[in-house]
Amino acid sequence: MSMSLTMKKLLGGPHRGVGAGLLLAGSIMLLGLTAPMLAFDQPIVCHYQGQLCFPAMVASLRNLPLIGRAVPLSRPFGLAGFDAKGALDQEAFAIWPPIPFGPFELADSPLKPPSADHLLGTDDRGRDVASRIIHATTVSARVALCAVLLAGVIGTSIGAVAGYSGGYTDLVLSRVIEVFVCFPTFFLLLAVVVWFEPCADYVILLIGLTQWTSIARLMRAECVRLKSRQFILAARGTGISELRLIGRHMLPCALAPLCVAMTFATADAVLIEAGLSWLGFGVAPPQPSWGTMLRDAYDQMRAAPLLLYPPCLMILAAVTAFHLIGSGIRKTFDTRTSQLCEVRV
Amino acid sequence: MVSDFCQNPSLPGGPLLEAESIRVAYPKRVNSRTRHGHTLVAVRDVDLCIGVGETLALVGESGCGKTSLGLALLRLIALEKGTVRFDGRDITQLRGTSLRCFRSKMQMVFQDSRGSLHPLMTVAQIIADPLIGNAAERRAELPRRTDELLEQVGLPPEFKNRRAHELSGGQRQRVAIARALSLRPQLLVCDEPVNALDVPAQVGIMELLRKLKRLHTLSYLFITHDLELAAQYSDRIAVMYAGRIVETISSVEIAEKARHPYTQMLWGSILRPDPAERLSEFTSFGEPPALFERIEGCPYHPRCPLALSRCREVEPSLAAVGRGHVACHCVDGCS
Amino acid sequence: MTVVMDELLAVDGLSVTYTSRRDSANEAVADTSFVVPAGRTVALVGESGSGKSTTALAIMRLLPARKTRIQARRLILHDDTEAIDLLSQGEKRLRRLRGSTMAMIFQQPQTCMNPLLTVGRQITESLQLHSSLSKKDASGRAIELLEEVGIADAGRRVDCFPHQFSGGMLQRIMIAVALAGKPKLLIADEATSGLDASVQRQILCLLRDVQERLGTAILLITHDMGVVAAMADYVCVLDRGRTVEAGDVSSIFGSARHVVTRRLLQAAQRKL
Repeated sequence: MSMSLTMKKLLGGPHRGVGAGLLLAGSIMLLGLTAPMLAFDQPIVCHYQGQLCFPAMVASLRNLPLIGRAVPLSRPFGLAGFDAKGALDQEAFAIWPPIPFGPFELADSPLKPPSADHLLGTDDRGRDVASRIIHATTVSARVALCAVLLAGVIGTSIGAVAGYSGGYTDLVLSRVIEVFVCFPTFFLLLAVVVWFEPCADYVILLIGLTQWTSIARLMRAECVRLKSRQFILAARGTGISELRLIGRHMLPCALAPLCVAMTFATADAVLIEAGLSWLGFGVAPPQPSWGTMLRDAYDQMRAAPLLLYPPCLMILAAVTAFHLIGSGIRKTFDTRTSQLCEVRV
Repeated sequence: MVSDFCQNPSLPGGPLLEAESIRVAYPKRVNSRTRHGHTLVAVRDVDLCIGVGETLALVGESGCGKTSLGLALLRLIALEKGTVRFDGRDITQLRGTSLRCFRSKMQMVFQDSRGSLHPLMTVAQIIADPLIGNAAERRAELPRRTDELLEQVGLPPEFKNRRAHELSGGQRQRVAIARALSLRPQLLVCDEPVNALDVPAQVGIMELLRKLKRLHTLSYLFITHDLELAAQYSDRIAVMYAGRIVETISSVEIAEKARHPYTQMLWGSILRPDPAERLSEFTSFGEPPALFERIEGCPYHPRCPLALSRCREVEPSLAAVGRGHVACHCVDGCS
Repeated sequence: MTVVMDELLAVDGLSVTYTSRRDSANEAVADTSFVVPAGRTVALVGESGSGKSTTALAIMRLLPARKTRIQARRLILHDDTEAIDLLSQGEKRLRRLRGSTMAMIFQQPQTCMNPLLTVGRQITESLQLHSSLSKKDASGRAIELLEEVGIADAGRRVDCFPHQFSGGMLQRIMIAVALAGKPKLLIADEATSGLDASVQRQILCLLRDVQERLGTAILLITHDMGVVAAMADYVCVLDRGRTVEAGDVSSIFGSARHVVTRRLLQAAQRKL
């Protein structure tokens, strides 16, 4: 009940930007989750060797976080090097995705301008840009969200421990946070990435391990503020454990500012991922991500300037969406503003 | 001194809580202009004893350290020195889990009912939280116990799903009392439980506390600045001034036999609902002292109409006079 | 209510409705009527939620205009020369009236003062707003005012910040700020509840003293019949936004008719 109330307050409040932001972010997520259904070099449904197969659907499911790995490969479609277009008869029953090209498929001659076949044209190797940008969404969104989740978990726990315990623990943890803040994150990432093969999972880990500081500082400040509140003292007086005190009593009160920080951090993570991939240290080519696509487009800027638009617009849309959500939540739940809205007598 | 207190004839059930030379100090502030170099001693070497089934009122003006003393007795803030014994057991050294387990025996009701209830939790969650957190009740029993507690504090069961801001001040205080009672404590420390309420609601809460005391054989430490309320609803009154206890007296004797000039001043400044007692001439009682200022001699002497030269030099100690204790040079039988 | 010769404030059939609230119980004040005679004290009594504070804010016209609707048959404040209909005044005129003809003190002085300004600054600000005093004269007057409200060593204390004063002291300073414009009507909204009995008594004495010296009428808002007995000439009892009983103080204490009045009296006496 309180969840729906919260949503109503968010969407029905005076800050309509949240709705637009959620819509935009939601579409991007949906695009990422259903990428193979929209653009793939294998059909959604087909009749192959006497069997009904769902290669694109299976590929979509395998894109899901966590549970995706448990979905079995659709044989022989999922196997490397299997050419569905060649294997399927022209007459065989098959429903193809709207964009029937895979992100790695060499679909046409390089650097073709947008046409009815290739909505956004082809890139320097002749791959369909529309298909690649959709699949890049999967990769970039996954990297950003997982990284922020990791940063959120680390930041919340360290911040809560520092803020709640106070004293020397706080002193030490605060200094640790400050050291991490002082590090120029981007160059640290560059330095570390040099030692590893570029890969999406490393990018998640690295962004998560460096971007938790702002969340930790926020959580620490919230805990310090809450610790002196009387209802926390009262709860402590009932003899409940510290874990319960932090988790059940303090965390819910800090949730709104945490959400704000996490949404802004997501926007940052999108930018960091794009930056790293652009430099060639992030997601490894040929895997498409917004950053790698931007890199490819940049290299061909004179020959095909239009290629710059799709990744730029996607990055812009994602960052805008998360900023809209973040500032909307902040304005809705900011106690100072909401107190002004209420008549207090 | 403590044994002296506890042999007090007004404690038929024996002592439940004995506190000996309690001192509470807040760390010194270096940067502030006025407080430079001074530790703020909120409670100065206080001895206190609460009997089983007794209601002890701790009375004093705001800033005299009575809340600090209450929190210190519950081990919710750090003691600088002194020992607290509960039911004969020294609880001063308890740490970690043993301290947490012990907390169920003494509970607190705070002054600010709105601030002391979690803003996001429902009434049912607030009341059940100590039970869950201490594993004091099986999960299946929780709804029944919550209903029972709500009924005991005089709230209808449909209040379960409300939140603190949807209740009136009196109702919130009832929820706070229900939470405090949920763990079946032996001692309830009520810190100004009715200060923020209007007079009819005050009476309602005080009558409720009186009823619950009979129901559960509770002892109360009732912290208030309202001597009139203390006299009405307690067995014994301890008057606190500038971090010290200056007088203990049975509440039935307060009107006639209050000996300390401070107690007399407090009693005299009560406004009675009688138009015949209309304020006429300007009376000055002075202001409560700032705790960070060191006062030589009796802490009350700057405001005391009876102050002697001796009061400016020597601090009087608490001595048994009649059935109570007084710390004043001007009272016969006191040092 | 007793017929009074020179009324200062007349409130007749006042109602205040909160338009922003969706629930039905949005009428905070339904039908309140009373008269404050010049130089006397009227107590507005009621339990919490009876609309006492809203009435006071409505008189000061301090309620947010967009979220409340104030209606009254009569809401008249008498100045030296004219009768001012408070309902029809524009914001500019109201600002001039507040502080000069009517002033208000609140329950929590800590929250009513700017923590970043010295108390002297806050008094002189109020002084300069309502008179053409020079800065130097105003600060001299501020010290005088602090002395008048019984703050010792006013010359030094005038440069202190609000957090350096106790609650009782701050309430005195609030009174000094309110008196800066020599108001004819002083509204004290629970100005002494929550204070220590000794401090409360001294503040009330101060108000009484001010009244005698300056002839200020006081509208005292309280739930404490002890305060009423100590201060008031006339009493008006509110219940759920309606005047349910009114009369002079002895008749209210002597022969209370309405159940709310009796409840308030009983509660006050039961404590003794």
